[in-house]
Amino acid sequence: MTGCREVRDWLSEALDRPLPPEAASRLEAHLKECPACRAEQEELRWAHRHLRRLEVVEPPPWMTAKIMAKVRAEAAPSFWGRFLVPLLINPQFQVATILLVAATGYYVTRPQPRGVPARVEPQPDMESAEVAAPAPQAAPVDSLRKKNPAKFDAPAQPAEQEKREEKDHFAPAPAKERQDSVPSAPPAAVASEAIAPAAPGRASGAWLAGEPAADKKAKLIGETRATAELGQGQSGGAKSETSPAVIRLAPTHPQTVRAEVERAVRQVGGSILPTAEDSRGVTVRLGSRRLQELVILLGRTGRVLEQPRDPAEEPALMTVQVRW
Amino acid sequence: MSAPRWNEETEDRELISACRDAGTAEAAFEWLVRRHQKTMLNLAYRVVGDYEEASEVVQDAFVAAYKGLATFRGEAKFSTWLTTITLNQARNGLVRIKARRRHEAYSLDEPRTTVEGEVRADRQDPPSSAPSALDQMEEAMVRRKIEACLQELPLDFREVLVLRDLQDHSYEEIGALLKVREGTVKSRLFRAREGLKDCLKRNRVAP
Repeated sequence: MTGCREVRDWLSEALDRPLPPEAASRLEAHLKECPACRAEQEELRWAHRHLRRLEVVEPPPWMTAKIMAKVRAEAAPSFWGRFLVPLLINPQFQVATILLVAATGYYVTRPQPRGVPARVEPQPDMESAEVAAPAPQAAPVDSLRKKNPAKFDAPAQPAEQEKREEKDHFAPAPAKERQDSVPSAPPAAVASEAIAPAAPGRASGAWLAGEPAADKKAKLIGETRATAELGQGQSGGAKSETSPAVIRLAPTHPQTVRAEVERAVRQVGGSILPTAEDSRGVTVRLGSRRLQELVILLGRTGRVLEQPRDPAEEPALMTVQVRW
Repeated sequence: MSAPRWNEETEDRELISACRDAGTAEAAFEWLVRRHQKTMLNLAYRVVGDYEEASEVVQDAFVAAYKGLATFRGEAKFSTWLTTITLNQARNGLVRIKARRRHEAYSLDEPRTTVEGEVRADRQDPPSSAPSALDQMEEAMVRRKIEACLQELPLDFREVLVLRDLQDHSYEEIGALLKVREGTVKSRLFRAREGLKDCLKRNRVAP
């Protein structure tokens, strides 16, 4: 016997298309015996009939014009599209663009030719202009020592040579001591002159101008020793441990100068002596051979206003006060 | 270049080919718009239930069709393809309507159905080709109730009912349009008609 549930599926389908013969006969037989399903059929047919009678609505008179206006707006090239349309439709433009993009990509990504470093590392080379500028702390001085250990450890230059090479490469010395008209360059630039030749045209570079490279190197190394004569008349010879030398700084960043000084001291293998609380200086113990290295490193923190003479006739420990 | 010779007999296929020629694209597409806009409008109107929104839906549908003509391969009829686009746009239109009604007084605070379950049918009649229903007030009332009950149906059921009973698509075509199997079309159609019938009964609109 066909159930009502099964029949009701057929009732809907029968509104749209003829049922298969078996389903049609079973539906007919069931409807004869089931008033509920007959009522259901009548209600479905009624709803279906009225639904199909819903009127067909007319489009507003302006609809076509409005659609076409929107279509034209879509078809018009955009601001950028006007530039790209020739590219899209003209094969010559496409080829030219491809070649241009390829050439640009090649020049951007090609390997650098030999001899031209991709990145100039700050080198402690005498002839480099980048040495004491913001550069890795340890590299310049340590490299100097490795390259020219004899110079660092060599005995002091003869007096007349020292006098001739006497120059404050770290800061403008008191007027009477100055040999050249050193411009008051920024600390980093001034410090860099200690190890590198100054640019042509700068007064401070005059003493290197015209000299062979090897001599320049020798002079620069000696230079670091000779500066010990500047400032407040330090006598030559080894410093004793009982008379601390003084290095006076004019820091560029007073807030961080202490940390920078401590870092420089550690780099040269020195140690900071515990002293009474002093916000404007530290007392350092280090090998006298490392004094000039320390001075060079401290030159990065600002201007070196005063520095001791190089005492190293013989290696010795020395005490240095660094003040700012 | 001489004006193209198109008329009501020109097939869609020929007009679509003309649309791909820059010189005749606009004129050919206008022919397509005039030919199909009424059908699409009625489809959209019965799905979204709002004449103004349906007008927007149809405009968007035609613009989308114009942009997508390059991808229309002609495997299906243009009208079928356009119907799919219109249905998609109609769904977007329903979202807009829903969002709009959230900000209107006529929304959650004023449900579309009364306490007794009667649906509110207070929309203005859109322009139609049928004569005025002044002498047939009962018919007009029934019609409004049916329209309201149609909008009460879930979207999936409403779509199949409109496509079948108002647009005369076959089960197979409806399955292709909605990307469902024929059995699903049959099932949804049955449930849609049951839902419409029950709604009309609740609203005391009975045979």
